[in-house]
Amino acid sequence: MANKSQYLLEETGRLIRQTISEQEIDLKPEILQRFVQHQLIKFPGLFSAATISPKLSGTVGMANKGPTTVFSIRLNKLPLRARFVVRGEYLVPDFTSNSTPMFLEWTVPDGMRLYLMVHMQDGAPTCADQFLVAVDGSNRTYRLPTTNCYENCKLCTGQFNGRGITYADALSKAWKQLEDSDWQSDLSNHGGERGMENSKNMFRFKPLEPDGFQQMSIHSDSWELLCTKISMEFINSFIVL
Amino acid sequence: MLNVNIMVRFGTDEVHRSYPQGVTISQVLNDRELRVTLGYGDNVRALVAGVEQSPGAAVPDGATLVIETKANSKAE
Repeated sequence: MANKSQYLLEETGRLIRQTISEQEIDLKPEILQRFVQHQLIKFPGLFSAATISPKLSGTVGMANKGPTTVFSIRLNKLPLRARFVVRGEYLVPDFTSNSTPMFLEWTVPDGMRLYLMVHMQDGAPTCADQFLVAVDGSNRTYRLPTTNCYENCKLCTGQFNGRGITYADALSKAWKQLEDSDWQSDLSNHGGERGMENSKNMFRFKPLEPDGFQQMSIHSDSWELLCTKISMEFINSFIVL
Repeated sequence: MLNVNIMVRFGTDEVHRSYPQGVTISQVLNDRELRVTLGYGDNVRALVAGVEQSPGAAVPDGATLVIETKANSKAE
């Protein structure tokens, strides 16, 4: 064991002597392994989101802790394949309707960061769970006023086969599953009437002549008021912002 | 009357609260003012040191109560 001394002169004029003892420790691999496997490591900007789909921009982040791997894909647009109804001069979703669905893309409003989080099966490029999470400027997490989504933001994916050849391949399937999802009435009881009303104030479109639709701003003082604030240790820990 | 002083956390928000000794988890979760301040709904659970607490359990003094959203079941 070696002792080292150093002298520190503080701004207050105090002179401090620090004595440090050093001893090299033989860190066995088994000990290092046990230490590392409980560490949460995040990799922001792991690769380009365009690798998953040309419709995506930005980068994909990954969080890993032991066998648990979760990817975070930031979405600038949310694909909405849903039933819509006319309310006044706007087209708004009616998730419980039985009419023919139509496809519209909803652009994420300023101040909201929207993530598709994909939890992989332990040690395999296979999607286990997917979460749709909105985040505000203070990193609070929210559930959008949609259907097909549990209260903890976990998406209902039906018979989705999320097995990929690679992790990027599995993520491509998760994105396509979201893109092709029919936002129908499943889990519509979650937010109740207020939830369904909030969806009509959040996802608003105006028909254009001769065709097409223009997205309108949300009808609320803030988007947070239309969403449900949530907190999940899993999401809080593994989301890569 | 003796009080228990606790920290209650929901996501990134946390507040200090003082309750009469013997207050239960359920009573804290149903605290209307707390609910409005932190913004949680009905479908939540409370954890202390990572362990879910039963609704009838007494809240220990000095505890940090972490409130989490529970997953609901699928609509039928």
